[in-house]
Amino acid sequence: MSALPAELILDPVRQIDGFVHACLVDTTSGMILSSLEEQDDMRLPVAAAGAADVVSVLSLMTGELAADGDVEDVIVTLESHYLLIRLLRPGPGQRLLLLVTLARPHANMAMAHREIRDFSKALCREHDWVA
Amino acid sequence: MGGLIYPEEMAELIETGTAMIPTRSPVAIRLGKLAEAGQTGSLHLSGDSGGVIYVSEGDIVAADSRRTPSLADRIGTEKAGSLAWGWLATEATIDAAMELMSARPRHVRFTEPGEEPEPDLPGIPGMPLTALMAEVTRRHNLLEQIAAVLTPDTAVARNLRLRSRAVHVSDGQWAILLQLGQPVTPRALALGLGQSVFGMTIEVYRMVIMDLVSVVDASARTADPAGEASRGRSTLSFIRALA
Repeated sequence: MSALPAELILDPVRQIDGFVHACLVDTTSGMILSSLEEQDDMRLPVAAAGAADVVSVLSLMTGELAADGDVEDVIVTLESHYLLIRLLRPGPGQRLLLLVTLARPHANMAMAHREIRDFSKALCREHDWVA
Repeated sequence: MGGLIYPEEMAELIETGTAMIPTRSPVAIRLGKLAEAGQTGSLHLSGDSGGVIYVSEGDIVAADSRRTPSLADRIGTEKAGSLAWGWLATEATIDAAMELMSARPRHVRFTEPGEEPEPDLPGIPGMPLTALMAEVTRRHNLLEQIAAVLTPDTAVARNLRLRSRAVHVSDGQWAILLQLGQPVTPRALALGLGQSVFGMTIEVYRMVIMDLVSVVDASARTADPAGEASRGRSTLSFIRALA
């Protein structure tokens, strides 16, 4: 398991075209664990709290639907931005979300989705987390 | 060292009910003075709901409360310095600090390094008091949103009959269900499973909304006589907690 400072863990996500900001959030408490900002024109705490709310509602929905499996990722398309949310499971009973915000004019959604998936898998492998 | 310790809005908060608003408690005020002076040492709080808050150059480095799982229980075998280790250490500190700040005034004693045995806290980064206060306030706002349904000390029990024919539960929810043979509070569950009391309360609230568990503590129903909150008409919102 790596001892990389929390701030550096998200650094590879900065390379994604259109990157605005990213953060890791504990889905239970809504607390931001690590964040990275390219520009500060969006309120990161609001984005993180909103992402935690989205995941919370979707988890209730999948629970009630008895869908076989948990939420894997969420893509929100705004007129000017893409918000990508990916769920990570560090251990039993623990869930984090990775939120990445991209400027839509500079981003390629399909590529970004793939890059974030690959980053999440690498992060889970590196830290012995559940993929 | 001078400067503002608390945001203005925190100073306007007042004491209500039986619980202290964490950011206006004597403990918070004492921590503010220690932060202002850049002190290093331990703040000891006596009593059944007491504990210790460790301060380094005014920043909060750790906290242990008798009413939350210990730092050692939370960190477990995680490797020092890893992301999960830092996350668990921070979570344990905030959980305990919030508990210590929420309790009624009691004897508070500050000791400097060397006066008392100190815990082994290798490399836990200090948290500025303002950051701790902001997080404690946010959590307090979240607990207030769900207070009509349950608190960390409200007993709950597993529902024997489900509303739906089938539900999907996470591994964490399953672990909680296994503990619910008898009525138990979120705090007792958290202590038993070595998890955050705050996090456990939020998770149990979600399970109440999903109708997997019910509140059995009659006193909790007084604020919600029709049970409307527990049937999903009251929602937990992280965004609203920021206000």
